Amino acid sequence: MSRIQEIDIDTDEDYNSNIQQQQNNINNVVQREPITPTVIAQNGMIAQIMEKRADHKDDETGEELEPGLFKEQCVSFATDALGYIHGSHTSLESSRAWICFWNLHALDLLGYLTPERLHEPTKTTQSKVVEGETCDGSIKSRSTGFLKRLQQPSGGFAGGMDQVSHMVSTFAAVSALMVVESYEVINRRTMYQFLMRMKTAQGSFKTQEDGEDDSRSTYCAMVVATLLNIVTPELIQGVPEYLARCQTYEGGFGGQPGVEAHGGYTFCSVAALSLLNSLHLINFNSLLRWLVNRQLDYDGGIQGRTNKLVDTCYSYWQCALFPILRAYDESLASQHHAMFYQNIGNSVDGKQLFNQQKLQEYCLVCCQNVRGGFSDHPQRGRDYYHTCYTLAGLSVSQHNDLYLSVNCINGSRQEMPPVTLTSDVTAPPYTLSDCTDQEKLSNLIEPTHPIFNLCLPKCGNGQVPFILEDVDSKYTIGRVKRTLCARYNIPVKSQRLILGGRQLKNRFVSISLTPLSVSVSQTFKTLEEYKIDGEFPLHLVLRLSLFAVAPVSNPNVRVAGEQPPSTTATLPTLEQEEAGIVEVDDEDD
Amino acid sequence: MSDDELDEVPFSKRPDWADVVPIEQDDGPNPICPIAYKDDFKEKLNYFRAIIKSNEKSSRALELTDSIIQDCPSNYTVWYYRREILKVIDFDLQEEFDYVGAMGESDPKNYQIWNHRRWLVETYNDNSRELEFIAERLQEDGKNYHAWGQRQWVLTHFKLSLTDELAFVDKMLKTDHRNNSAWNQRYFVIAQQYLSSTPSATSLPQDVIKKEVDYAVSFIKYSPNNESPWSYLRGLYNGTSLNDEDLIKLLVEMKGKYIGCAHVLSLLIDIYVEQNKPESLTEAVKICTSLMNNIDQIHRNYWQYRLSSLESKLNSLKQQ
Ligand SMILES: [Zn+2]
Repeated sequence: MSRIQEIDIDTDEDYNSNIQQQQNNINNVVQREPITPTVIAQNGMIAQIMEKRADHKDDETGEELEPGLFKEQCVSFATDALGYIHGSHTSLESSRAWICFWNLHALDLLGYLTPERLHEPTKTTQSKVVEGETCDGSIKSRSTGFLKRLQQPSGGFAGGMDQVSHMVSTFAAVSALMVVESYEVINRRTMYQFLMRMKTAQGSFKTQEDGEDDSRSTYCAMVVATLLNIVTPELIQGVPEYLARCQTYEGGFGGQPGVEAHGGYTFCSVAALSLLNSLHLINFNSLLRWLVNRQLDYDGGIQGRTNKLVDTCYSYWQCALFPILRAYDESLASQHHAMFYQNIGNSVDGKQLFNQQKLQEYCLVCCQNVRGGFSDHPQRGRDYYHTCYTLAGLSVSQHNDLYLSVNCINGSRQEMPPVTLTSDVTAPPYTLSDCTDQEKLSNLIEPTHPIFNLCLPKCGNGQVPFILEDVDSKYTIGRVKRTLCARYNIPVKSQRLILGGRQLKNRFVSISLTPLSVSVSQTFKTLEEYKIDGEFPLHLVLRLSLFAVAPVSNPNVRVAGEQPPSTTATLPTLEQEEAGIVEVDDEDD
Repeated sequence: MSDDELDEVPFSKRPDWADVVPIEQDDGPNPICPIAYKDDFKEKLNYFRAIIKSNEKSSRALELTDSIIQDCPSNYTVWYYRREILKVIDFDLQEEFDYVGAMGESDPKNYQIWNHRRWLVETYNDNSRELEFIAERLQEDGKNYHAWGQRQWVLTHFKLSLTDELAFVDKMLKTDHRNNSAWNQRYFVIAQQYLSSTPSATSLPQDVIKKEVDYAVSFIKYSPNNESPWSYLRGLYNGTSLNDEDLIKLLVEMKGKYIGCAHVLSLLIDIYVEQNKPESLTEAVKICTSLMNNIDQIHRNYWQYRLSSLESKLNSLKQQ
């Protein structure tokens, strides 16, 4: 057998001796495997992993240590980046939206980005403060202020200042804005125009005006459209078919039809197909087989392509697909379709179909920097990208119920309330046993959405949870919407309010028939009548209003993203409203 | 084009740039994640902003794009503007190919460089350098994803010889039998030859399958745990039945020879499932159990999942 196999047998103590015997038998049968670049690279990787594992022992007792997450250090790696990026990152000049997303989302995954921390003043930065402009310097305002500048008049976001729009940067900027809950600065109308301009005849999306098109860029377009609720039939026409064509004979997906199956592109294709409700177009069984086999035995990590080295970022790209596929499998079961494999959901005893412990071990033991953050391979430097995606991968490894969030947050499917995970951790994260500080103790990462890679409260159809402190329970639903309109610049016609999966309606029309006449009366429901009082988890869902933007009667109301929010919006009075003087939104659904 | 000596002189000190007023970058107050650019890079960007603003498309503007690209090859806007300039000025096509070729050599995994190259090839309808250039990149890194993608595009866009390509792939596989990208390319060529050319075909012709199975097996022989030829072999049967007598005979023989090889067992399970007979499924359950408990423990959860479906299939067959 190859040298890879020999190392395997020599080092893995748990390796079944029976198998070792069998492997030796193979060695006798087959010719010696030639040493090629792949074999050399893989042997090098095994050696590095062995070294890392050997180092991960107690100096005195020699006992193996439990893998632990250096949470505090990881937080400072990311918070430092919010204030300053070293000049050696000049080559990331066009990836500035990405740098924001990687670090903000990393902090969110670490549970650091609480609403208080999002709003509290932060350390001063290297840059100048523009005279006359005030800035509270919070993470939210600094992020929003900067990302807003990347938005282009003709739609979409650029990767850096004064650059043209780029699909992948647009995805990063929108995601980062979701993390800091500032989606209202996004101009959805021009965004839609940008997406349509990038669309190609074969159903894919380009990255820029004369850029390449692939399944990655297509995923970005689909996610942005879904998050902003601007999906139209024209936008998605031909897209599922294009993505399905990217599946290769191996089972994974390539960047283009015909090109080799690759973890990143497989994630992009399958996640987008899930959003488009089109997973029936693919070969499910071959995808699952390919996916499972990307986790390597000795390494424990995940490789992006067959016979390539494992790399931490694929912990997210590949493993996020397990909850997505499980959600699909379960949805088939509930629709009484013929089921794959005749059992419900591709899970075993609630576990996922990869080795969750081994993956966490590879990330935490082999690729973690003692000063915080992660690298792709052992003995390589940490970077923002791999830190973000390793944390996301750990999240997927730790939360077995993430599949529940896949079908819930999807415009084309049944409207459902935001997800509460029934059991947060079924695969326990590793913990440092002798550590007292609660913050340091836990390796637990916040649950991330398998499709969007945003923490669950931050995603889904522009569903933004909010608390209206100053709203009276006597307010009608219409008035609540106008309050929101004044505060967030979201046109009333674009709003749908959801409580516990139920849409709150403003106007109820009752028709009474008598033998002689038909009388129509309408009533306005208040929050009180919906039994809403005090704090309540109301969700705002944005409704597509691209082509029929509501004629807005209130001059202070503008379409989201065009101008800064007005602080002095005048609301119509209750009397005006009840007298029917003000326009009420039509509840057509 | 790129002139090292000139490069050292800051744009602000160059007489031929004296008429341009650079425009400072404005990140706004307290931006998040500010990059501490080096001064010379900052200055170049300031001049670039001025050029864009005045919409200047000249040879000095082209030179400026090169200067920025050297510091930041992933700046897609600068590449974009470079193409905008090339569209209107006179330039030497060979020189531009040399330029993007040198960039591709030093930064072979850069999206922008490959995109620019494809634009050149397509716009000027000149593929004379492509296969050789790509082959050079593949010599350095046999799995360069961009290079293989470009190769497939050139082959189909210009309808180049697939027979030659098959010989190229064979050479690549003889160099590294674990190069999965080369295996993928072989599948691509075969599919182009027998599937894409005949839209009515739903699977490869039987004789082609046989020939290619032999090819894959010749590699499996000295590396049974190499997943690439196994996936290739399985892929040959896409759209047709795996339940093929010759294949089964071959696999059963291999199963006895390469004990503990998960790939042969996995393939056999799928064939037994297709057969859908009690005795086949019983055998599949047996194999699946040993994969789960012994042979392929890292993928234990997957095999457990397969096992429960096999068992329920078997039970429903027995009940009939
Ligand atoms: Zn990576």
